[in-house]
Amino acid sequence: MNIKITNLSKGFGKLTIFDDFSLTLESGSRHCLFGPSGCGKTTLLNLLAGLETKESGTIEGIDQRKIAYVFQEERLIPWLTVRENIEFVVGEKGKSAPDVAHLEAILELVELTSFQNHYPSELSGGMKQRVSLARAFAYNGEILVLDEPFKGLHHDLKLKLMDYVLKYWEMERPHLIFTTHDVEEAVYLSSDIYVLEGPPVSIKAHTQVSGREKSAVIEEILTTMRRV
Amino acid sequence: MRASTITDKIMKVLRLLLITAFWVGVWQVVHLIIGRDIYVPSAFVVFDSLQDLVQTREFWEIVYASMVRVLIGVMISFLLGVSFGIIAGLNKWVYALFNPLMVVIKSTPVISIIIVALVWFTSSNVPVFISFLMCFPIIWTNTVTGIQNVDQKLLQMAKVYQVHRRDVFLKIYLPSLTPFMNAAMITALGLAWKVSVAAEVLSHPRKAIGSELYTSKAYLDSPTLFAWTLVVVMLSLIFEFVLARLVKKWSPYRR
Ligand SMILES: Nc1ncnc2c1ncn2[C@@H]1O[C@H](COP(=O)(O)OP(=O)(O)OP(=O)(O)O)[C@@H](O)[C@H]1O
Ligand SMILES: [Mg+2]
Repeated sequence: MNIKITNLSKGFGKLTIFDDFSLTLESGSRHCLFGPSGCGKTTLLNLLAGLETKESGTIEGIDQRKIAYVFQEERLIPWLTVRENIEFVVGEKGKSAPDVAHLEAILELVELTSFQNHYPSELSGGMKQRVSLARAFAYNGEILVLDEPFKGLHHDLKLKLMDYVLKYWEMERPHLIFTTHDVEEAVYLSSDIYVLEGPPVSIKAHTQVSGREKSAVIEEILTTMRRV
Repeated sequence: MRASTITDKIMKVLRLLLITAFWVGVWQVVHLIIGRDIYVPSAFVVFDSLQDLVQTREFWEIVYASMVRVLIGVMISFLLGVSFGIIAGLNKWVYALFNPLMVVIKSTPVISIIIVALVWFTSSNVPVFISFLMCFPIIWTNTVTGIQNVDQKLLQMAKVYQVHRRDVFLKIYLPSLTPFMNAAMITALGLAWKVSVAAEVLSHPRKAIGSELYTSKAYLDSPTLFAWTLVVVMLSLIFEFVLARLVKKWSPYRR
């Protein structure tokens, strides 16, 4: 189902972040929100996830119970180990017991198997980020929301995780929505890039990546950004 | 154990002995200056009467009885303080309703409450009630603060991931509370000893440190008065030490 945002308005005090903002995110695509710091990307994701209340407008096509969200900060529980942090979100939901093999495969993927019994305070920033990603993968949501998920990660691991996200997307076909400051990341992972500016947020450009030369897309985005 | 930690330990004990010796010396000097045993008895006389005390069976029965009163009072205030504190921490209306009561309890002189309690309870229950009532606001306040300080971002995370309320409570709320609980328990226990013994002085239970204090005062037996006071101080310190140990064990960070 498409996610349809219509006439959305939202502000913090005097600061207007969304003013009559509309956007349709088609299912089957991988959406990237690309925009400068402070323009309102996280706020949009929080509105989608129901963590912020909108002032007016509608958001349709989202089942908020099925969102796996990688927050901009790791949001790990400090007194639980890596493994317990992941188990925290997959626990019995009345249905299936936590799938141990699945969990172990995910730990393997984010290269944290040998750190599974460590506490967050014992991990580096990039490692914590990987736990946060692992938690989202383990949750198996229908909507995968990633807020700058690869920041602070080494290039090789970043590529590997992006490949995993792509593979995961091929298999499960979740609604994929992510934000980034990195053009190459945007082009590598998404099928649709929305270049945002604001606040208040407006869409400066909507670029489709699929089937095009990557360098051409990057060139196009950079040109858009330079235009004032 | 490495050699350096052993020397560290020895140094620590040595320092403690020196500090103790210094203050006993100060006491002795004050005793000599004042020159009246009734006002400030000599440290050695006090230690003598303490030695006589601990050799009697009754001493231990009295200590046990007073200890049980303190513990029961603190336990009740812990159970009620934490439960009510959680409710008040989660609901600002309940907080607004209960907060004035806590303020009143905290600022009422203990002695007034003891006197009223003498009318309400049997002599042995007065100290229990007093230590409960004095500790309750401390534990309540700390619980409320703990709940209000729970990391909202973790709660949001749990909400997005549809984590069961029970798990949110057990794995986010409760562990966030423990540092506040520890602080509250240490303060509460120290206070409980003081107010409980004060209550015993006025309510005279059959076996009680407070009753002994009262009797020694009646007979102008200062060495015994001081000896019992030392006992209370030591019990209070031992309790704090044991509690600090337990707290380390229960800390949410299992290492
Ligand atoms: N809770 C809040 N209270 C007040 N202002 C807020 C709040 N959250 C965000 N803002 C403001 O809203 C604007 C958009 O914030 P948002 O976090 O959505 O930006 P962003 O695009 O995610 O930026 P970044 O790339 O740096 O993460 C910022 O100007 C910020 O100051
Ligand atoms: Mg952001």
